[in-house]
Amino acid sequence: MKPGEHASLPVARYLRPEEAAVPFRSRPELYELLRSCTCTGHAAVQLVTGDGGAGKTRLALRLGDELAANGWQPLWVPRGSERDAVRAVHTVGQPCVLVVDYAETRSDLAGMLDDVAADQNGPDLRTVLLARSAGEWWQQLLAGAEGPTAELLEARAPVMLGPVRAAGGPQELFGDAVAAFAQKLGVSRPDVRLVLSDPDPVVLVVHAAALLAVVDCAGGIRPPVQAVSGLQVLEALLRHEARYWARSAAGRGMDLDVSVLRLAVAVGCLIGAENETAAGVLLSRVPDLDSAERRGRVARWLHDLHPVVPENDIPQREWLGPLRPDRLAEQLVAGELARRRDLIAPLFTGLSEARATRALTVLARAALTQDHAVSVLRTALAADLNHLAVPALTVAVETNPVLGELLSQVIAGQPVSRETLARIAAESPYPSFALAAPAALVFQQLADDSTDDSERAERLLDLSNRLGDLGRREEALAAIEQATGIYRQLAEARPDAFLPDLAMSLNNQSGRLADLGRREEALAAIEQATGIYRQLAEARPDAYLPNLATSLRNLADTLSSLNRDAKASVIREEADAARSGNWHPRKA
Amino acid sequence: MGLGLDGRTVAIGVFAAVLALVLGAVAGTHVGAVAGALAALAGLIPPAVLAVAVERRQRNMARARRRQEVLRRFAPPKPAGDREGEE
Repeated sequence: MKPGEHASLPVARYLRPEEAAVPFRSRPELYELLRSCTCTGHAAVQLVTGDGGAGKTRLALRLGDELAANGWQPLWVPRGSERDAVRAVHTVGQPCVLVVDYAETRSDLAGMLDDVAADQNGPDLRTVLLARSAGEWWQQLLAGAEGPTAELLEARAPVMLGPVRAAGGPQELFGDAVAAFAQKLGVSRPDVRLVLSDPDPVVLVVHAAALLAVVDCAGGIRPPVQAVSGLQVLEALLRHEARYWARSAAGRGMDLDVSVLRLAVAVGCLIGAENETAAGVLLSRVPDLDSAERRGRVARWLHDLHPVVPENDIPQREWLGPLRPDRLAEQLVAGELARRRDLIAPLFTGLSEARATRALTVLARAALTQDHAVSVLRTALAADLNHLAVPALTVAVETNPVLGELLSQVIAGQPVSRETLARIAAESPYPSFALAAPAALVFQQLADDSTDDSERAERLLDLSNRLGDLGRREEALAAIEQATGIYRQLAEARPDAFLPDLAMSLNNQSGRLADLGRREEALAAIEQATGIYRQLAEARPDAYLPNLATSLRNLADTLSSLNRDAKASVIREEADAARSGNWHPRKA
Repeated sequence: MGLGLDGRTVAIGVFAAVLALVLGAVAGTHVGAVAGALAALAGLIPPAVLAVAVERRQRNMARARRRQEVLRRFAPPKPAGDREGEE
C-alpha cells in the first residue's frame, strides 16, 4: 500500500465486533456468563447490558465460541424470528445458546421467553439478551412475566459491562489495538500514545482512537497531542470515512459536496428504505438532490456503500444497510441534524410507524451520549406529533426515557388534536415511570375537553393514577375526588352501568387519602367501595369477586394502619374467601 | 453424515444385501418348490428392507437440510470481508 493511501479507504468496519480486528481481551464478565450458561438446568436467561461500544456483541460472540467448544450451538436470533427460536433449537437437536441482540427493541421477546420457559422436551437452552440498559423495558418484561417465565427472568441478575480493564489501563488496550490495526492494514506500528480525556472510555472509543492513529500516521498526519474526548475521536473517524465517501461517489461520476454525502448517509442510517424507489423518495427530502436521476444514483451508491447482508438486527426487506458500528452512525445522524435543523421537520414528517420508531431509536441512543441529540428529538417530535407520538412512547420505554420528558414539553407547548391525545392515552403503558408525566398531561387535557361525564370521570381516574406515580399526591387526590363525584351522580341515575366504576373510584380515592396520611377518610372511602362490591358480588359473583377480594384486602390494610387489628383480621378472612371463590353474602 | 448415511441406515442396507445373499445361497442348495420359494423371498424381503434404509437416508438428509437452514438463518454476525468499499 502506498503512503497516504489509507487516507481514502473505509476503515470503520474494522471496529465491528464480528471483524475481530483486535484480539479479544479476556474480561471477568465472560467467566460470569460462562458460569451462568453452563450451570445445571434445562433453561436459563441472562441479560447483559452495557453502553453502546462497551463490547456486548464481541463478548457474546466470544461466549458462543467458548461454549461451542463444549458442545453448545450458538444461535443468533434475527429480528422477527423470536417465536421460531425454540423450534430452531429442536431442529438443531443439541444444547443451544440463543443470543438476542438489541433485546430491548424486540417486540416478540416476551413471547419468545414464554416459549423458552414452556419448553420441556427439547435440548438444553440458554438465552443471552444484549441491551444497552436494564431500564423500563426490562421492568415491564419482569412485571408482565408469569409463572416459569418470571422465575427464569428473576433467577439471574443482569451482567453489566463496564470498561475493559487492563493492568496498564486504557493505554495498554490502546497499544494492543494500534499493533493489531497496523498489522491488519499492512503498515508499520506507529509510536503513539492514547490522549483521551474520558477517564473510563468504552472499548470502542479506545479502538477507534487506535485505528485513527494508525491511519493518520500511515497518511503522514500527526496524531493529536492534546487530550480529546471520545466524541471527538468518533467525529475524526467520521471525517475519515467521509473522505472515502467522496472518493467513492466521485468514482461513480457524482459531483457532490462531501456535506451532501454525509447528509445522505445520515438520512439512510436514520430512516432507511425497503427498496430503491423508497430510497429515492427518502432522498427527495435532502436539499441538493433535486433531480430524480441524481437521487436514484445516490440511492444506488448508498445501497452499495453499506450492502445489506443477513444480519441479526436488520429486517430482510431493508434495502439500505446502516453505517456500523452503531455509535458511529448515531454520532453522524445527531451531528448532521444538529447542523441542519431545517431538515428535521421534512425528514420526520409523515413517517410510517416502523420508520418513525427506527429514526427515534437512533436519535434516542445518540441522546444517551450527545446532548444536542435531545434538542434534535424535541424538534422532530414537534414537527409531526400525530405520527411520532405513539412510536415515541415505545422508544421512551425501550431506549431512552428522555423521550417521555420531550413528549411532555411538546404536548404542553403546542395544540394537539383530540385524536392524537386519545391515541397517546390508549397506547401509554401503565405503570410507566418514563411516561407518567406525558400521560398525566394527556389525561388532563382529555378530561378538560371532555363533554361526556363518564369519559371525563374515566380520564380523571387515569390522571389520578399517573399523578400518583409522579408523587404529586395532592393533585392525584383532587383528580380522583372529581372522578368519584361524577361517578356518584352517574350511579344514582344508572346504578347498573356505573356502580362498578364508583366502587373502583372510591377504592382508588382511599389509596390517595392513605398516601396523604388521612387514614380515617381513607377508611370511610374503602368501606363504601367494599359495600358496593359486596352488593355487586352477591348479584354477579363471577364478575365481581376478584374486585371484592382486592377491596377487602385494602380495607383490612387500612384498618391495620389504624390499629384495628381484630376487625382487620376478620376482613382478611373474608378477602381470602372472596379470592378463593368461597365467599358468601352475609346474612342481614 | 452429509449424505444422510448414519450408522443404522448403513446397517439396514448391509442387512438387506446380506439377507439377499443368504436367501439366494440357501435357495441354491435346494431344488424344486423350496428353491423357488426361497428365491422369491430373496427377491421380496431384501428390497423391502432396502426401502426402509433408503427412506431413513432421505429422512436424515431432510433433517440435515433443515438443520443447515436453521444454522444459516440463526448465524452470528459474520465479517464483511471485501464486500464493502469495493468500487
